[in-house]
Amino acid sequence: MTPNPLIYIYSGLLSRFVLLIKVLGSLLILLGFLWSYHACGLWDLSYGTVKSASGQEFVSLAEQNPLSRLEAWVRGDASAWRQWHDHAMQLPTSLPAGDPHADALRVLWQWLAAPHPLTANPYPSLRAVRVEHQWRLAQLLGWYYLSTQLGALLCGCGVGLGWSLLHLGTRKRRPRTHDGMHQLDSADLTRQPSTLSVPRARFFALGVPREVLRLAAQCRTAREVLRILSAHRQWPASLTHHGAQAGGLVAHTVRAVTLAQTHPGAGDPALGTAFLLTVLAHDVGKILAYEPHPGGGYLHRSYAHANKSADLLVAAGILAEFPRELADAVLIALRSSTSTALTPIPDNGPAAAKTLLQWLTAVDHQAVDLDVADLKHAVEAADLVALLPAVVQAPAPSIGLPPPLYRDGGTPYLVRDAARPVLVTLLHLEQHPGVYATVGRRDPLWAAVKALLRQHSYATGEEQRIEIPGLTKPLAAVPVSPEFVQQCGGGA
Amino acid sequence: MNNQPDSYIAAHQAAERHQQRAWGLGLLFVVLHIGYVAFPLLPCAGTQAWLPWMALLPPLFACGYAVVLLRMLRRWRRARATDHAFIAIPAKDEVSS
Repeated sequence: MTPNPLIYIYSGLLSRFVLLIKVLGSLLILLGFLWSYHACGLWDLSYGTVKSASGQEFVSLAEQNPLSRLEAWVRGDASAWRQWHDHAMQLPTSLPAGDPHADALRVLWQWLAAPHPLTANPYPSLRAVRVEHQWRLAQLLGWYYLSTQLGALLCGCGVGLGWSLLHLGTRKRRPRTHDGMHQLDSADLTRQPSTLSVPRARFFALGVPREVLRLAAQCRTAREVLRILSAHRQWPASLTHHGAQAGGLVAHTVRAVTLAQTHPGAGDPALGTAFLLTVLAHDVGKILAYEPHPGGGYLHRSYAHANKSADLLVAAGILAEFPRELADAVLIALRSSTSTALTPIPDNGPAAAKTLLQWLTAVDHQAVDLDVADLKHAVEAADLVALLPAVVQAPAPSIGLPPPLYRDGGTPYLVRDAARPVLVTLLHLEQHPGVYATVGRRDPLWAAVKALLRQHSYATGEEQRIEIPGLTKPLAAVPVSPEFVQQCGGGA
Repeated sequence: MNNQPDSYIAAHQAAERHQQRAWGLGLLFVVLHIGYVAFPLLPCAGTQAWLPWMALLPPLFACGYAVVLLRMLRRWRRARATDHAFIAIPAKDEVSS
């Protein structure tokens, strides 16, 4: 049989009521004893018989209380400290002694035998002194308690104010939240969206052109990016392609920003500054993607430099400076800039991001094209005919490559991958930014060599890929005539 | 060093011990308050010699209040943080197409 739930409630209430009665009864009995102790005069007789409470000792200990002292310092004469101090000073050092050897039973009997026991006061002078002393003690302890708690409150207010100011400062630096903003980020992430510790340096020493300085003057985030770039001025723009030489990163970035200033996008009222910032920061992530090798040169630390560019831009403060939508567009454009095929902007992505990416790609390609065009001019100006014998006679430029002149079954070939580094060294173009910018482009150096061979009828056929023992992939090569080889001193 | 996570029973027992300790400290706190307030009324005359020691109690009380306040504040902040951390995924039927 299931008991009625009301029984549980009833029994619970009953047990609580019984407990209350017990507590109240005990308290009443205790108070009754205390009152009878007071009324019969025993308390008056025994109160002054021992050494009275010393206000001096209390003061000497209480003066060490920093909270109370703080309250006294803040509130001055109106402080509770002053009150308890006065009461402590007024506390009598000695009280009139009663009778320590009084017979308690006799005193009790006399009190009970009195005509009015409830109002009896057998020792009026002793009682007056005791009550006054107790009242002073109560005031002293009360004021001291108040003083300490007020001091603690002041201390807490000070700490709270400091914390609030710190919090407000942090809030001011972080981007403002708005309706519809994602709530999944934790408080830490909101407070400091991205924390990266990278070296920074003054960017005036970079010697950047006026166009870049103009952008730095109007954009705080751009100044941060420039400071980061300035501290990494030796970084290359790539490891084996465009701008692979020391300082290639800064050179390419400056060239791209300068070109971007002439791009129609720079004059766009809504996207102009964001576009220039995107161009300035599009390769800055390479300072995290590449790391210097102890033996010289640089190594890949990671491959996603575009994501790191976006992270650095967040750390530089783009979210605090730009409206959220625009900052998001810049970051999305940057993250998609590595490869639009691998990381495309989704169809429902912000239109501004697509526009920025389109402009960035155009400017970035234009900057590389200019370097390649510059290389082409340098090659055209050189006397390649005079250099060809040195190329033909050169040994293999590195391990894993054949010599530039390779014979396959008696047919001599000029191998592109071997001849090119030899020519680059002979033309002193090792530090040229466009010298390795051959991915997806026509190589001006090799094109010039092929044109020369064709022009002088040194080539006996079209460029082809030949298998070389020991190498995993075929290499591009042009068959050349034995006369040409003999003329160049390459042996018959 | 033990890297294994605590079992549910061990965690439960630890929480119970913690609760008991908190209750004990709370009770001691209340008793100390009663002792401080009732000190002038203590009927035993010899207790007056303890007056200097009463100077230590209010700073102790202040520290106790501060600890309780900080714990409440921390609990409130934690509750607020977890309130926002969970976003329920709407049921398929509730998603408007």
